[in-house]
Amino acid sequence: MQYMFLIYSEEAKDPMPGTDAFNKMMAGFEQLGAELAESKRLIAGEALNPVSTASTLRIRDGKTEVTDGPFAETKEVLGGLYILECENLDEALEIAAKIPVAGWGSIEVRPVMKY
Amino acid sequence: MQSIAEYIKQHRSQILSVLVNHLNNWELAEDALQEACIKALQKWPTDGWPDSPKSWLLTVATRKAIDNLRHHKTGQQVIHQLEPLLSYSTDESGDDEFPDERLKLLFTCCHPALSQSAQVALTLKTICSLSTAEIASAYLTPEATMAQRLVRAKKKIRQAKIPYQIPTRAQWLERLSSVLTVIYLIFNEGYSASHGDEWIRENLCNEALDIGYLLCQLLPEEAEAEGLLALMLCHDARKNARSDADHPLIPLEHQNRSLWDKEKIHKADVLLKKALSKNRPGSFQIQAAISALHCQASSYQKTDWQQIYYLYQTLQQWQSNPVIELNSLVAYSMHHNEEHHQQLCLERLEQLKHQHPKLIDYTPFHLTHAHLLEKIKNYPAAIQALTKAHGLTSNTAEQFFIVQQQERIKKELEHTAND
Repeated sequence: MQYMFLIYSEEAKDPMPGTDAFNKMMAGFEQLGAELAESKRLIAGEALNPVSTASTLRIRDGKTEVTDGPFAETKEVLGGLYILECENLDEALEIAAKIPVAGWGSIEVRPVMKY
Repeated sequence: MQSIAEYIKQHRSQILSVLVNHLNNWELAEDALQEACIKALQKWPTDGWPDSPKSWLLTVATRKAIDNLRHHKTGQQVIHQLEPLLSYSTDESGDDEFPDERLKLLFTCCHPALSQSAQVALTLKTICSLSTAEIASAYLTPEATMAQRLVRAKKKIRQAKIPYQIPTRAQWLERLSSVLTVIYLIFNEGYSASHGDEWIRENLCNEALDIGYLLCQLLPEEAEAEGLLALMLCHDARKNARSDADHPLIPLEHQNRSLWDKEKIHKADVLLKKALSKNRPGSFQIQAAISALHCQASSYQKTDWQQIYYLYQTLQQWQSNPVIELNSLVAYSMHHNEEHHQQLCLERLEQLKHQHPKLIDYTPFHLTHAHLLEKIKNYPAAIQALTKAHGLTSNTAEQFFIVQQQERIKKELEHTAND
């Protein structure tokens, strides 16, 4: 069963490079990455550039509109994601708890639809 | 002699939990068991009861499930897993034969990834075998809404693959607390008498107690499970003193204590001592200790208010909410009788109101206010506070009680005026 982990946080709360908190976060991600690679769960895992680089596109009445910024103006923004193979939701939630950002942001866990 | 319907209700959740665990498909398990139960109701009255009714139900349900699975693409593999159930011979002693399966199912029902209202409904449906109509009526919800809530919850269990398993150590505390909360919510819904049919409310309390016992039996190491059961028993012991023909709601203070069930109080006491000896404190044990102190007191005045006050202070470290603080204030005011202490309580109440503005819409806030005002003999203000409390509750029993309080204070007022 595949689950997508959407990693949300307030960018202002993310640790700044060069700080201890940042190094700790990166170490956390590295350790998690190694665990995921070893357990062969990892299907995809990416960090995203800041939300200031986002563009949103919609087509309405045949007209394409592109705007600056994310789809919804919320404090917590999508900062990264994983797609992982897990046995069930409990296992997925256990991994979600190891994503460093869970300590100040939130992790949305969604099962990937199967056809 | 037990009727077939009673027998089914008593054993349904055991059989269902075995089926769900083997099938890994909730809807299919329920459908198969439903068909087996219908067949039992048709056949047993004429053919006589089978030697082992539980095995009969399990075998027939398994056969139904296998029939249904033949139409599924992936059915073959599951059918293979189900075969042992066809020749399973069950124990008819009446004991819970599949404790692990039931526990797994209970943890699934109370999974925090489901909404709390869905957790409660699923638990009542699956573990307590209440019908959707009964649950809907207990929660004053239209039956169709309740049915939809159950369907949606089961769909999430399947689509998000919430497992049927005992949680891992890492998740244990959160998950156990979720289960305990659901049980207590069910009990309180039955006990608080806010609405609904009398019989169903009584039923809810008994169901919650039953799961409480089950949980203590399945998890003998868990002090909080014993704490919860002790707490529910303490409440339940006072049930018969909470109302009479003339008074739909009698507060603790005015209850006839000889009506309290001594046996239940004793049971609660034994459980609580057992729990406390494990040295693993928790909020249910503290609440049970408070409740037990009330149960052991010979009168409202002679209650050990000091200890109750300290216990409420401790409880706040576990769960901070303004209601606990209100209760803590009452305990403090009961223990300290001098007027300046009552003034202190009134000031604290004022502070609380500023910290939690929503409290002014909350009946117990005004009842506490009235209690403190009455203690300093500010009767007109106490009557006013009771009027506010009256306007905020739709519970007729509570309204009746408030009016009585007001009349009592009015008499007190006339008394002082005459002196």
